[in-house]
Amino acid sequence: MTLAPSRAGKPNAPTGPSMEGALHDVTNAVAAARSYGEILLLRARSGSMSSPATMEDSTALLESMLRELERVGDIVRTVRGGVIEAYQPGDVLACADCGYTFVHRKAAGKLGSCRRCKSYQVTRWKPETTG
Amino acid sequence: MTKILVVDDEVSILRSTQLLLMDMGFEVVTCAEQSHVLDTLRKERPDLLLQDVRMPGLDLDRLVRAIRQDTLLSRLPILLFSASMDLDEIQERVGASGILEKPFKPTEIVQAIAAATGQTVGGAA
Repeated sequence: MTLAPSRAGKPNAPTGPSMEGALHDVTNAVAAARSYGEILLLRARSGSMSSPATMEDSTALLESMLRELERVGDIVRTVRGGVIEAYQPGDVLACADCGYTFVHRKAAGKLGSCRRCKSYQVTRWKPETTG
Repeated sequence: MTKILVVDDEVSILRSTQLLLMDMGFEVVTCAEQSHVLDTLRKERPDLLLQDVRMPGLDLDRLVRAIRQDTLLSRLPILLFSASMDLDEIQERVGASGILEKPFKPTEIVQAIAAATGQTVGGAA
């Protein structure tokens, strides 16, 4: 994969498998957000939003949709920061946001994201050395 | 009612697709672990498998071969869905019944399910 000419010269711009992984993850997040939106639209069109139970459930769907859109923003920020690294399943990663250390279990090529707080600000974990 | 097994390691995709299909009138079971797919298929006996193509531990050729060689599952329609860009090639290689690119519209998923199962499927889309 090649970057658009306007970005090609940017220092640290991600390329190759990491960029493909980012696109893949963005597509997944957009797909999930879209599905939540479509469910809400179907319910609104069918007139089923008026009951309190459906309204409560729909609020949860709306929150899920916004979470996915936030995820898209996180990935875009990560790509623009040029800090993407390709991880393999089994790699031990650490979250820069919440400090959680975890084993990367996604398929090869997918972005690393924290298994606790879902942040994409992760790095390869290195044990602290003493003495 | 058409029963669908949705397989994906992305929990958000699994949940959103399940809810969307249920709202459109389908019966849906889900599976996030590739190693459980064959057992779930034998237990649930769905009318269609909606399978992500990019999951940890997934050997798609082997999975499709196992399904086709299983007396209970051999005729099961398999619809591949993915955010990957080479779905056409993968479908041709493994001999799946159809493909669905993410993100998808409700009408697209209903049409893909109908085409793969050969049934007229209901839906609110």
